[in-house]
Amino acid sequence: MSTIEEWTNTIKRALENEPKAVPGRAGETPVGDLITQIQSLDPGSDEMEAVQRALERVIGQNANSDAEWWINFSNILCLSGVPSRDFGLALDRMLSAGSPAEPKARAHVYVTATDIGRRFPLPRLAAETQIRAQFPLQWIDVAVAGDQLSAATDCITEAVRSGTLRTSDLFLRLPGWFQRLGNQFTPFVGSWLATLPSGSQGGVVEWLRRRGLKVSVRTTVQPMGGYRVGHPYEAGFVGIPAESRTFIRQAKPRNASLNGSANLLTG
Amino acid sequence: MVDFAVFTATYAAQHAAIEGDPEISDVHRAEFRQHIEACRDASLLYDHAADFCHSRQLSGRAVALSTGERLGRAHKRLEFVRLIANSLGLSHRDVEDLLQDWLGLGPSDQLTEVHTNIGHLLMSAHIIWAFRNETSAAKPLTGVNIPDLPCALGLQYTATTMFLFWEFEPPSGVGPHMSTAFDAGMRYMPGWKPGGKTLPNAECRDRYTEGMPEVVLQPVHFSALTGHLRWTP
Repeated sequence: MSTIEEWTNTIKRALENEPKAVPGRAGETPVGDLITQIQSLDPGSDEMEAVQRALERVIGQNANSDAEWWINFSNILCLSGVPSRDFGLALDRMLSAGSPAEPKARAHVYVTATDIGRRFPLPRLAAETQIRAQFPLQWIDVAVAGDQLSAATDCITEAVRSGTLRTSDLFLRLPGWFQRLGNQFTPFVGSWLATLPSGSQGGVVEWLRRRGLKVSVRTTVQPMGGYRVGHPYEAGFVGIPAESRTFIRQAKPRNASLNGSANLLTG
Repeated sequence: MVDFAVFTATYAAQHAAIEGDPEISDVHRAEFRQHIEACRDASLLYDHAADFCHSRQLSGRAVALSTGERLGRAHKRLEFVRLIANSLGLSHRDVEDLLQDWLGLGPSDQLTEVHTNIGHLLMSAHIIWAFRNETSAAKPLTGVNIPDLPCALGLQYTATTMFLFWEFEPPSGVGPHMSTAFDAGMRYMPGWKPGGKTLPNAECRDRYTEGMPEVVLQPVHFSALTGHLRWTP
C-alpha cells in the first residue's frame, strides 16, 4: 500500500507531466492513467483513504494554480470515483477565501465543486461578477445546477447579446441541462430561445425535434434582479404534446447506464 | 554521461524493438545512441529516451491506402471525455450526458451532431494510431468483433476500461505511415512489434494470430469521421 506522501507525489507528478505528455495509442495520458489507477481501488479501503488525504494536501498546496492545473485536477476529482463529498466543502471554503484568484481557474473550481454535489446560493454567484462576464457558460452551469433558472436565463440573454456566448456552446450543454432539469428543461430553453439569432433558434428547435421534444418560445425575458427560486416555467408546457411532457417528466437520471441500446431521450 | 550499456540493460525490450525495426534507418539508430550517451543522469534516462522517440515520430515509410479506404480508431472513453471536457470548457458530467445523447441517436443524426459540435477538435494533438481492415476497407469497423478490438490491437486496459471506436477518412495531405518503435515510444515499445501489424495481447492471441494492420498519421480533426461511434461496455 502506498502512503499519503507517496500518493501526494504520484498526483503531483501526473499533473506536472500532463501538459507536455504525448498521448498513447488509445489516447492515454498521465492524468488519465492516474484516474484509472484510483478507479481500481476499493472505495472503502485504507488505500483510498490515503488517496483522499493526498488530494486534500495537493489542493492545499496548489490553491492558486492556473486554470489548466485546475481543469486536470478536476478530472481526477470527478472521474476517479474517489469519495468526493468532503472536497465540495473544501473547494467552497477555498473559493470563499479568495483562491484561486484567476477568474478562469475560479470558474472551473466552481464547476468542479458543483459537479461533486456542492450548491451555491444566488447572492454568492451574483458576487462573482468577473466569472459571469468572462466565463458565462461556467457561471450558467453552476446557476442551473443550483436551480437558479431565472438567473441563468438572464446571463444567457446578456451573454448572447454581448457576443460572449456562442450558440454552439449552448448546444453542447443541452443534454446535460436536460438530464439535470427534467420537466423544467423545455420551459427553460423556451425562456431564452427568442434571444438567439433566428438561424440558431431553428437549430435548437431541430435539436429538440430529433429527440421528440417541442418548445414554446417565451418572447419576454425576466430582467436581471428578478430572480425567482423554484419552477417558474410551468407555463412553458403549453403547446407541448402530452407524449413529450411524459418524456420530459420521466427524464432518466444522470446515472443512466451506457448499455449501447438505450435512447436516452425517448426512453 | 550514461553508458549505452546501461540503457540496453535497463530497457532491454525497448532496445530490442529499436534494433529490430527495419523502418528505422541506421542514421536514426546512431543518433539515438548518441542521444542516450549524452544523458547526464541515469535516473532521467527513460524521459531522455522518450524525448528522442517523440522527435522522430512519423519517420516510417508512407503507406498507400486503396481508393475509398478508411481507417479505424480506438480511443479510451475516459480520455475522450477528458479531451472534450477540457477542450470545450464542459464539466465531465456535461460530456457524459452529451455522449449518452449522441449514442442514443440514429447513426446519421449522431454523425451530424459529432461533426457540428466537435468537428473542429483534433482527435489527438500528437500522432494518431489507426487500424486498417483488409476485408472491409471502406468501413473498417464492419465485420470486426468490437469487444475484441482492444485486445486484438494490443492496447492496455483493465477489466473496467471502456473504449470508443470510430471510422475516419484521412484528409488530403495527411498520409499514413508505417509505425516505428519511435512512434510507439518508451512506454509502448514492449507491446509493439515491427512490420505494420499490431501485437495482440496474450488473452486473445490464439484468435488473432496475425495482428491487425496499423498505421500512424498526423493529427486529424473529428470532422474526418465517416460513421457513428461504437463502444465497448
